[in-house]
Formats: sequence, C-alpha cells, structure tokens
Amino acid sequence: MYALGVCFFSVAISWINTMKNLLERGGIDIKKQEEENQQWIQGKGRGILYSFLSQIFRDEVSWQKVSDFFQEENIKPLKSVITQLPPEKAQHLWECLNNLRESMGGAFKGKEEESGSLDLRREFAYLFLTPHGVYPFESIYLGKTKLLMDKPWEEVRAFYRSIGIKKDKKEMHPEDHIAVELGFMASFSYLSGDFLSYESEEKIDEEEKEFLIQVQHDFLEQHLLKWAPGLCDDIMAKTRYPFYYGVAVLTKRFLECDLFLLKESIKMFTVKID
Amino acid sequence: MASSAAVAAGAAGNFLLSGCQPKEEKPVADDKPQRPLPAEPEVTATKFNVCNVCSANCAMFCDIVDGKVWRIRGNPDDQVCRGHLCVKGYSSYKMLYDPDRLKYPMKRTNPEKGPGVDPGWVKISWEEAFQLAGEKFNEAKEKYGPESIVFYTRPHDFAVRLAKAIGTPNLVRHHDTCYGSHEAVWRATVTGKGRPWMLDLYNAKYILSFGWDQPSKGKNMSAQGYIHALNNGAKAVVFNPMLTATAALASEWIPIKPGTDLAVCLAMINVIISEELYDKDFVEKYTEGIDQLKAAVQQYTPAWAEEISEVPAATIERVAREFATTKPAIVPNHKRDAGGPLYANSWRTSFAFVILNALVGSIDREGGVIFQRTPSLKPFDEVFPPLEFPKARKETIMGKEKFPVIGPTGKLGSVTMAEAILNEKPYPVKAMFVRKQNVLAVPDAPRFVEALKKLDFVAVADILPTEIVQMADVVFPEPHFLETSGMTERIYFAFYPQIALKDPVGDPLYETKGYGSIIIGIAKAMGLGEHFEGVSGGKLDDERLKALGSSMDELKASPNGLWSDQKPFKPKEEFGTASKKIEFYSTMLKEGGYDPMPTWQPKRDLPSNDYPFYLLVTRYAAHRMTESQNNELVMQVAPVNYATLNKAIAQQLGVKDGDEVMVESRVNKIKLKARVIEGIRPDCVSVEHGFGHWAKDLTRAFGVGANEGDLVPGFTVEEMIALKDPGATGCMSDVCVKVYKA
Repeated sequence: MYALGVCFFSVAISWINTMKNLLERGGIDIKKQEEENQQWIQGKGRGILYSFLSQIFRDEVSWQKVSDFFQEENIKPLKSVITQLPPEKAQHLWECLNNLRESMGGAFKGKEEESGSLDLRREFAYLFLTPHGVYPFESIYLGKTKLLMDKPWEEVRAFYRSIGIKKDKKEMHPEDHIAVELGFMASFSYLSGDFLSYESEEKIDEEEKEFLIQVQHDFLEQHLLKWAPGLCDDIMAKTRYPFYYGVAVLTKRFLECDLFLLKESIKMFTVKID
Repeated sequence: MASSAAVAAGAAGNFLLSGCQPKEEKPVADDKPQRPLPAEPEVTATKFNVCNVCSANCAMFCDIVDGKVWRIRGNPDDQVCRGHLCVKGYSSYKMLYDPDRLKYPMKRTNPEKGPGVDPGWVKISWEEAFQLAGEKFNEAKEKYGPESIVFYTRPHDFAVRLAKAIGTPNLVRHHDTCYGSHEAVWRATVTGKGRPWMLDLYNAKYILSFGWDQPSKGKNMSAQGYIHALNNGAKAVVFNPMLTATAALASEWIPIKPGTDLAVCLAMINVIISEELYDKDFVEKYTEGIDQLKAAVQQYTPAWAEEISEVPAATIERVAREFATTKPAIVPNHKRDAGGPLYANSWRTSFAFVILNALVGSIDREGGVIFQRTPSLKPFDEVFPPLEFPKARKETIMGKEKFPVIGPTGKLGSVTMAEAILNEKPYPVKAMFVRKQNVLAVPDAPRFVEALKKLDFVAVADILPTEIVQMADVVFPEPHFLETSGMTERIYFAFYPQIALKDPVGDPLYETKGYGSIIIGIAKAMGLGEHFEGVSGGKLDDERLKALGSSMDELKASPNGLWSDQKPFKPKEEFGTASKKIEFYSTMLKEGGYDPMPTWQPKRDLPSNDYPFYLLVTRYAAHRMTESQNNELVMQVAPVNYATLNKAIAQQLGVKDGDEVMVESRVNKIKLKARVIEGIRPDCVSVEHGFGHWAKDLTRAFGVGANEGDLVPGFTVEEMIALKDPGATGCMSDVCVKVYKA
C-alpha cells in the first residue's frame, strides 16, 4: 500500500509542489498540513483512481502496477467514494472496475508475464505513440488545426494560471495531455481530502474546501468532460486488447460519476453557507 | 482511341516551338471589401533561429506568444533571406506541433518489414536504444567486417567520425540525385574542390536558364533575386519543356525538347566564340583551352542544334548574341536543372554552363555565379583531434574508388545502393544507420525497400515516422529544428562571411535527443566512446566562434542574432584547378577517363512506341522533397501531385482534367489525377515530386498522390561506370513513360 501511495503521489507531485505555493499564499501551514495529510492523501479514493488512470495514459503498464491498484487498501477508499453515488451509477462504476480487473487476467495470466507485458507494451505504443491509435491531447480533440498547442491548450493553461499554478518543468507532456489533466484532478482530489465522504471536514477551512471542489468541478466540466469521453470512445474503437478497452470505459464512466459527486458537494456548500 | 505513341508524336509536330512571349497581365482591381487582419497578440519573446527546411538556412525571428510560436519572420540582416522567407519557412513551425512526430525511442518487435506491415513498436529508454544499436552494429562488425555497416546520412562531422571509428568506408550520400553532376564539373574545371552556390541574380541583366526552376520551387534567395532582376529591367530567357512559374515570369519561354539543352548550349558557345562576342579580357586572363574549345564546337551549328532540340536556329543565334552582349549575364544553376542529375548528358550540360558563364566573364563577378564568402570555421578534427582510426577497406559499395572525379568527395552512392545490397556487391551489407533520408528519395523506391528488408538491422534518426522509419529496427527521435540550438554559416548567398544563431523556441515537446548526442550514444554503446571524449556540438560552435574572435555568448548577445565580417567583395584572380584557371579543356576529366570537353551525347532513354512520353519532374514551391507532406499548412497550399499533360494530348487520349491516369515506365507504374494544361510540350508528362507516402503514421501525407521516383530505374555500380558520367548521377528524369486512363 505504501509503495503504491508513493507511486501515485509522485505522479501528482508536480501539481502538489505548485499547489504548495498557492496554499502558502493563502496562509496555510503546509508542513503541519502534510503531516496531517499523510493519512488522508493515501486514503483518498478519487485521487487514487485519478492517479491510476493518469499513469495508465502516461506510460506502459506492468502487471505489478495494475495488480497493486486492485489491492484492498486501494479499493477500500474507492468503495467509500462509490457509496456516495446513486445505486445505478455505483453499480455501473463497480462493473467497470471489475471488468478491468478481469481484463487484467486476460492480459497477464495464462502467459508468461513478459509476454503479457510485451503485448500491452506494443498496444501502448500503438494506441498512444503512433497515429494508428489516438492523440491524447485536448488540442487535437477540440482544436481546429488538429495540431498540438492549439487554442484548447492555451485555455487549459489559462485555467491552471487562473488558480495560480503551472506545470512542473519535469513534466514532458503538454498541459492538455490526458495524463496531465487527470494528474491535475488527482492532485486536487488529494488536496481536498476525503471531504466528499463527509468524514473530516475540519482539515481544511470551508473556504479552501469550496475553492478546491469548485476548481475540480470547473475543470471537469470545462475541459476533461468536453473531450475525454471522445478519446475513450476512440480507444474503445481502436484498441485490440480488453485491458485498454476496460481503461477507456472506466475513465469515461468515472469522469461522469465524479462530476455528479462534485456537483453534490457544491450543493452542500451552498446549503451550509446559506 | 489513338495509341499514346502516335498521339505524342503527332501533337509534338503541331506544337509552337519558336518561342513564346508570355502575356503581360495587368493587376485587376479587387473591389471586394478586404477582411480585416486579426489583431496581433502581444509577443512575449522573440528567438533567433535558422530555417532547416532546405539548405538555404534562412535566418529567422520566431515570435513567441505565451510559450508557443505565433509567427516566423525573415531576419532582414541575413544575406540569404533579406527579411523574407518562403512558404516552407513560414509554415515550418506547423511540423513542430505535428502530433504524428516521433516522441520516444522505439524498437521494432515484428521481424516482418515492408509497406503496410505494423512494426509492433515498443517504447524504450534512450539507454536501451543505444545499447540495442551498439550490440547490433558490433555483431555485424564482428561477423562480417566493419564495411558491412552502411551510413546513409547527410554529411555531418560526428557521423563521419563514428564511421571512421567503426572502420567502415561506406558513407552513402544522396548527391547523385541532387547536384553531383554540377559538383563534378566545377571541381574538374574551376575549383579543384566543390561547386559554388551563390547566384548573384540581383545584379544580373540577362538570365539565360536551362531547366533551372528555383523561383518556381520557392528557393528564397533565387526567387527574390530573379524577381528583383526582372523588376530592374533584366531579360530572362527560359528553356524548359514546361511553362513553369520561372518561365511564366520570364521575358521569353522556349519549350525545348527534354534532355537536348546540351545541343543548344554547344551551338550558343559556337556562335559566341565564332562571332568573337566573348569577354576577351576575362577569357584570356582566367581561362585555358579557348582554342581547343573553338575547334571542338565548330561542328555544333545552330541548324544542327535545331534538329535535335526543336529550337529554331535563329532563336539560338539571337539568344546567344543577346547573352554575350548584355552584361552582366548569367546561366544560373543549382541542383536539378538541365545540368543537374537528370539525364545521362547532364554533366556535359553543366560543363557547357560553366563555359557560357566564363565566356561572358560571369564567374565570381557581380551579376554572375559567385563563390560564397564563408567564415573560416575551424575544422572539427582541429577542435577535437582524432585518435587513430582502424584502416578501412578501400573497396566501397558506392564504387567510390572507381569514380576518380566525384569519388574523393564521397558525394555518391544512393542511386546504386539498392543493387549493391541486393547483389551483395562487392560484399554483403548487414546493418545501416540512416538520418534525414527517405525511401522515396531514391530511384526505384520499391527496389530499395527490398534491399532494406535484406538487412539484419536498420537504425533511423528522424523527426517524423516516415517510410524509412517503418523499415527500422530502432528509432531515435530527433527534435524539430526550432527546438535546437547552435549556429549556421551563410552559404547560398554570402558576399561576406556571416553566421546565424539558433536559439530554441522553448522546451522540447518530446523525449528527443540531438543528432550529435545520438551519434555519441551509439559510439559509447559500441565501445568507441573514446573517439568522442569531450566532444559536443555546443563546444564545437563556441571554439569555432572563438577562433573568429567571437564566442557563443557574444553571438547570443548580438541584437540581430548574426555574426558578420563585412569585408568588401574582391573577385577571385585565380581558381583551384592545376592551371589555376577555368579549364575549357579539363585535365582532371581527361585523366579520369572522361571527355575533357563537353561534346554532344543524347540522353539515355528516348521515346519509343511503348513509352512515348518524356517524364518531367517538378517541385511545388510549398513543399520540400518528401519531408513536408505532413505539414498541415503546406498541404492546404499544395495538397496533391498530378500527372500534368498537354491539352491536345489529353483530348486524344480521352483524358479530362481530374481523371485518374496511369503513368508507367519499364520498372513501375503509378496512378495520379491528370491535370490538363496548355503550357507543357505534348510529348511530356510532368509529375511533382514528394508525394506517394505509404507510411500510415504520416496521417496527412499517407496515400496522397504518387511517387514519380518509382518510375526511375536504379543502377548497379557497373552500369554507372558505363555511363561515363564523372558525377556518377542518377538520371532522375532520363526515363520515358506511357500514360493511359486508369
């Protein structure tokens, strides 16, 4: 569990570093917060799933990486997120997770691990590194020129800037790559803690919580949900492996569910403030 | 329907060949309200760079808005571009943002190779990529000798050193499809080294050209110079079987029969000498062999040339007289003109160009062909002294040792490479390293694909997933030139030495490495790292600038991104041949076993009943060879290539504009849409070069048009020797074809 947590954290580290500056400016004691956060960052279901998906789109997968994700320690916080959903949505998301777990068996079991990995490595390159597959950039899906760094990329950057953050230098992908956008959501999910499970509301003050939730809601609505479902549809149409099919279905479904959760949270804030 | 042979012959007879005066067109006033230009955003940074689309290397300003290239402008202080770029340069940043670009090192997992075969790419680390290349190259070296490894790259100090460290003599060059004939001729008759690049069209008053089409091709410095000269009252006479843009702008267009330019040039030389119209001072002082030349060309009368070229004798005489008596006059040459590597007789035509220019005193004189004044850059080996290299085998797959004029320059081999590999002559080739070359650039591309399949290992460094990348076992992704740093000297137009700075426009978009780093990585993986101890591109540039009394820091601080040494232009008083003069009778050619003077020889392939049309190859101004067909903006300007036919012929063949036609030679056939025009000889079909990509990974280029190079036969080294061409060039248009409705 710890190793996986570190791994996910490292995906989000670039965002978290820039977030630190933001929160410090807002007068939050980061050191104290980090100590307190150790528990809730690792236990944050949304963050875990966003981080997992970000990693899947960023790079090749290994059996280890995927099987670690399905450990109980990770599934448990995910369950607590899913229980916030209406029964039909919750069931659907569970099915997606289960399908992905099953496809993993297909991808890795019954073969030598190396062979299974090689198939998925080929598929990763086929899908994400060559034009046979998909172009995982918002610019390509929403831009006119179908080139990188088109207007949508400018808008994503403007969004990040509007909340005072920018991409870490170490991040090679442009700001509108699917892995970076999912990583952004992962970071904010971690930072907003398990607020959505209504358990530890005291950890960040109300204003900060509302801000963090609103940012995630807006980013989903204005960016990810405008193009990622299309990307997922293309992956489903083009992939030759159930694993990436499962990833695409899960991503599409999760983004929809997460928007629902965020909207619910915003409603709660409104009620409280009123 | 009439046979295409009969149609071609019949229509040619009716064609107006006495010379055409293009109609002067007045600009029509446009009453439509102009759409206002969008407001200019605030430029956040401007970076200097050097266009790397073609070898003109125009210096440019890159205006950055918020981390992204918004616009590219020409650097007004650059001698080559004078503040203006061509469409290729302006649109070059589109490739920077092309999502099809190679993003990471990759290795092939599918051993099967060929068009339509998925290579089964897998992403690998740079370390693994180098290790793989190192292992495979070493394996070939140990089992089959170092000569079994071939470098198919453009000239680059780092790559040459690696080849020497490995011990392979096989550095295949593309110049035999590019300008090898000019190189060999200038070397043998004027320079003792290479050819000049600079055409001072700006100061020319009479421009006489044969197949020269740089303005149509959008070659910046020549297009600008040509227009400037015409606006300045210069006369331009264009001999070309097709009404190209160069011809349309000219004072006179003469639709000469393809491959007969040599006959017209020889007759003009005869007229100029026999009528004593030549520049006697220049000829006496700077040339050798005028008497031998006079005797040799007496047989080439204008009437004789008319028989061969279909250009009226009176036109030949008149143009020759005008050319010789209007100063300054120039016969421009660059690459694929009538003296380029197009026909079996092209080197002789190139020789005639040298003579014509010398006869009017236009070699290294204002308004003529000029030797670019380049900075004396410290040689690579002086900056980084080499260790001892293993002794390489003398025999090469290019037959370098069998071509005494061009061989020592190493500028040959791409035309004969496929046959050398397939026939294992003179020995087997097992591995290849490729950079900035493509399958589609050589004659008979399908045959080259077969040759690549035969190799055990192919490593390719590139930017886009081109056809040759599809044949690779490992791929090294390179940055786009706008992501690179360094410096480039001015060559294509340099009255004085000038160097331009390259400063990256931003962080690289993908996990790429520069070419120098790739070479060093392979060397280290092969256990040859000691040959590159302390070597880096940055250090090389800095040391070279320091030797010139500057430094990279100083260049970076310069307000225009240029280092210039504005010495006044001093014309050359002596040349690089053994006699120190321009040799009309070349001793180097004689000693090499070639004709020492440009005697008449027809082109190799002549129209027959089976293949009645001459093949012409043209180039779009917007495109650069086979490298630009995935550029989003360029493809809007020039989206496809055509088989261009004369209207009368098309009618007889039953072909309408836009119909699909087959163009077939004795080696291959291609399918293209027909474009029917009046401005082409009826015995010709013209195809634009650069299309016919079969790599599906080039999403914009894939499946668009066809590759005319497929129609051109390749050569064995023995066949090339038999051609007796000192440039060993590829006869890239010396093929006849048939055309029929698809």
